[in-house]
Amino acid sequence: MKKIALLGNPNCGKTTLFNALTKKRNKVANWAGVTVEVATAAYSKNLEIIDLPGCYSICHADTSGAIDEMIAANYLFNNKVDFIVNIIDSSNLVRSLYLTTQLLELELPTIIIVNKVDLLKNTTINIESLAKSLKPYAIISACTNDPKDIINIKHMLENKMLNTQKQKLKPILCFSDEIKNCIEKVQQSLALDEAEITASKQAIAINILSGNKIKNIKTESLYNTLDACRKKLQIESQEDMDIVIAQARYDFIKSIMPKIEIKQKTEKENDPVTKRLDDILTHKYLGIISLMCIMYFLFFFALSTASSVQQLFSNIGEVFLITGTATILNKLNSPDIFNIFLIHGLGQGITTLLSFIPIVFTMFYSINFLEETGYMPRAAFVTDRLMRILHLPGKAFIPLLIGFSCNVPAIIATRTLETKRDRIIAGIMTPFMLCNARLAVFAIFASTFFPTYPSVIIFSLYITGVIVAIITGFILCRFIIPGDIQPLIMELPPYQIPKQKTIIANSLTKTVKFCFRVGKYIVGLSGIISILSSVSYEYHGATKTLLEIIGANITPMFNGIGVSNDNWPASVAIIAGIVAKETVIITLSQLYNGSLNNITTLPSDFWAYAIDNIQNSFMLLVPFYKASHNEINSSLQANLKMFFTNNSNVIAYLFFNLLYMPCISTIITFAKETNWRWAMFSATWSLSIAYLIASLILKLTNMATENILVISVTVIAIALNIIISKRIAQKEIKNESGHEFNSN
Amino acid sequence: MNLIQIKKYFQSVPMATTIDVAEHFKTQPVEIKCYVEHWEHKGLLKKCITKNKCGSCSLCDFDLLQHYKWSTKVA
Repeated sequence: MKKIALLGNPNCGKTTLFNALTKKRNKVANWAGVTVEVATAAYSKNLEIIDLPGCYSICHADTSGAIDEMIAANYLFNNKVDFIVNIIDSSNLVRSLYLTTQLLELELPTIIIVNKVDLLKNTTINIESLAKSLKPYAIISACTNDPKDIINIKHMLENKMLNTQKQKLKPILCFSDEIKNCIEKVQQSLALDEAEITASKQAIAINILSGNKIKNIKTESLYNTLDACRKKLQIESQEDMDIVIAQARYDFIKSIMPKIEIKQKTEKENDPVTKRLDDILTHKYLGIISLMCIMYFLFFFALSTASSVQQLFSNIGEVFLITGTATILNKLNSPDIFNIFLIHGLGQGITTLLSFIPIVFTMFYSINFLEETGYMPRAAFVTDRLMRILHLPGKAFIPLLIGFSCNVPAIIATRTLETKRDRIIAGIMTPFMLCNARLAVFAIFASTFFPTYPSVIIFSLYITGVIVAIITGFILCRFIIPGDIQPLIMELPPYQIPKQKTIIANSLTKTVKFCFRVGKYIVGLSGIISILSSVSYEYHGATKTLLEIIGANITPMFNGIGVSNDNWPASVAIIAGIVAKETVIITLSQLYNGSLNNITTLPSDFWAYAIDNIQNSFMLLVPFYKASHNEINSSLQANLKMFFTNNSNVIAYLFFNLLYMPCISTIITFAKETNWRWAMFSATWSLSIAYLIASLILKLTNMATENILVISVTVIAIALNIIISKRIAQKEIKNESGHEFNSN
Repeated sequence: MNLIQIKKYFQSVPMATTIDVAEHFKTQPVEIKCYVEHWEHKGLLKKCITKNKCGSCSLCDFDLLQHYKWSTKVA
C-alpha cells in the first residue's frame, strides 16, 4: 500500500484536508497543536493518507524539543513514504516555505497546496511564479474548506500518483558551493539501507550536518568528515551549522518572495473615511487641537454622566453601611473601638468607594471607546511630534500613555525603550500622568467645589500633568543626561466603529479590579485609623486622640500649600496617598466623619428612613427634580466644603496631589527597573515640583505673602535636585561607560 | 538583515518587540517575523509577559507587540 504524508506548519489546515480526503472526523480547530500524533486512514484500496503533526521544520535541532515536531520528523526519516502533500499557509508564506525547502530536499514526489487564500488581506499570491521557482513540483492554490477545491486536489493527487514513476525529480538546493561540497562529502560517507529509509541521502546528510540525530542512523563513522565540514563552515561564518543552513534557506526564500507575494494597497489606504479623518486628526496643528478637544469631551462626558448617578450610589452606602450598621451596633451596645472600625472605618470607606464607581466606570468606558475607535495611536503620533521638538524620546510617549491608566505598568513599559538613558527619563516623567487612582480623588473634589464645570478642572489637571512631565523630560534631556533621541514608529490602524458589548464588558472588568484593589486599602486603613482614634493622650492641655496629635504635628508642613491647622485630616490623607493614591479620598472621608462624630441621631424607623432616602436618590436621576433639589447630600462633600474654606486652597491641594511623590508601588518598580538613586530622585523631584506649583497657585490667587518662603525653599530644593541628579548621571556614565549607558 | 544580525540585536537589548527589531533594521515587521519565530522555535528567544498594551482594543497585531528576551538556556 502506498503512503501519502500530509505535512505543513501547525494550524495550516492539514487535518481539514485529511478529513475531506478520507471522510474521517478527526478533531480540527483554529489554533496550532491540535494534531499531536500520527493519524492514518485509507484514501482508496491501495492508498493510505497519513496526517502528521504540524511542524515548522523537520530538523530536530530547530524545534527546542517540541514533541509533535519530532514525531513528524522521525516519521519522515524512518518510514517509507511515497508521496508528500505539503500544505502552505498563505498568510505566513515565508515560514511555510522554510519547511517546503526542507521537504523538497527529500526528493519525493510532492504536491504543494497553497491554503487559506480566501483569508488574504491586501495581498495576492502569484501561483505561477511560485510554480516556476519550485519547478518541477506541482502547486495548487486552494481553500481546504471548499468542496470544489477538494475535488481539484483529488484530481491532481490521482494524476500525480499515476505519473510518479515518469517524474524525474531535481532537488532544489538553496546553499552556497561550500555548503554543497560539505553535503556531498557527508553523503558519500553515509552507509544506508535504502529499503528502510524514505528520505534522500542528501536530506539525511543536511540534517546530520546541522547537528541533528536521526533515529536508526549511526553517525560515529562520520565523525571525522562532519568535524572537518563543521570546522570549515563555522570558521567562515562564526555561527552554528544549523544557523548557516537555515540562513541559506531564508536567503533563497527572500530571493523568490518579491515575485510571489504581491502587496496591494492597505485597508487604511483604501478607506476614504480613515484618510479624511487622519488629514485632520494627525495634522501638524489641527491634530493637537483635536486631541485637546477630544480629551476635554471625554472628561465632560464621563463626569456629567457619572455625577447623575453618583448621589444614588453614595446614598445607598450611607443608608445601609453607615446608618444601618450604626443602628445594629447601637442595639447591640458594642464597644467604641468596634463602632469606629465598622462605621467610620469600613462603612465610610466602602461608601466612598461606592461613590467612585460611576466615575471610574465612565472614565474606563470613555478611554476604552477611544481605544476601540483606533484613535489612541494617533494621539501618540500627534504628541510624538511635540516631544521631538522638545528633544525628548518620541517612543517614551507609549509608557506615558499607559501612565494615564496606572503608573506601575507604565514604568514596566519603559523596558521597550532602547537606551538606559531613555528608560530613566521616561520613568521619571511617568508619575506626572494622572492615573485612574488620582482621578477618583479629583472627581469628588471637582464635583463638590466646582459643580458647574468639573470637567474643566479635571482637564486642566491632566494638561498640567502632561506639561510638568514634558518640562521634567526637557530638563533631564538637556541638562542632566543628554543623549541622542530615538524615533517613534507605530502602525496607525484604520478607524472602526466600536463594539459596545466589548467596551462595556471591558470597563466593568476594570472597574471591579479597581474596587477590589481599593477594598484592600479600606480594610487596612480602617484598622489603623480605628486604633489611632481610640488611643487618647493629654496634648497641650486637652485630651486628643493619637491620630489628631499626629495630624496636628504634620500639618504645619502643608501650611504653605493652603492646608490650615484645623484641617489636619487633609495632611494625613497626603501621607496615606503615598501608599496608594486612592486612599487620599478614603482617608479624608473616614477622618472627617470620625472627627465630627456626625451620626449622633439614629432614625427611629430604619426601614422607613432607608426607603425614603433611596426614593429621593432615584428622583435625583430625573432632570427636573434634580434642578429643584440641587444640594449636596453626601456627608463627605459637606465635610470637604466645611474644611476647605476657599477655592484657591482646593486648587492648590488638588495640584499638590497631582504632582507630589509617586505611590510606593511606582517608586519600588522604578527602583527595580533602574536603581534606588533614580527612584529617590523621582520622589524628591516630584515633591519639590508639587510644593512649588501649589504654593505658586496660592500666591497667585491669594496674593499671600507667607508662602514666599515656601516658594524660595522649593526653588532651592529643585536646584539641588538638578545638581545631585547630574552627579548621579555622571557617576553612572563613568561606571558603565557612556556607550553602555546610552545603549542598554 | 539575517538570523545572526537579529540574534546580535536581541543580545544587545533587555527585551524587544518585532516592531522594535524592524525599526532597528529599517524594514517592515512582517519581514522580521519569521526570523524571530526561528529563534523562538530554537528556544533561544523567550516570550516575556508584559502588561504594556495600551488597553483593550485589538486593532494592533499583538504578535508584533509581543516582547522577546534573549536567553542563553535552551528550554
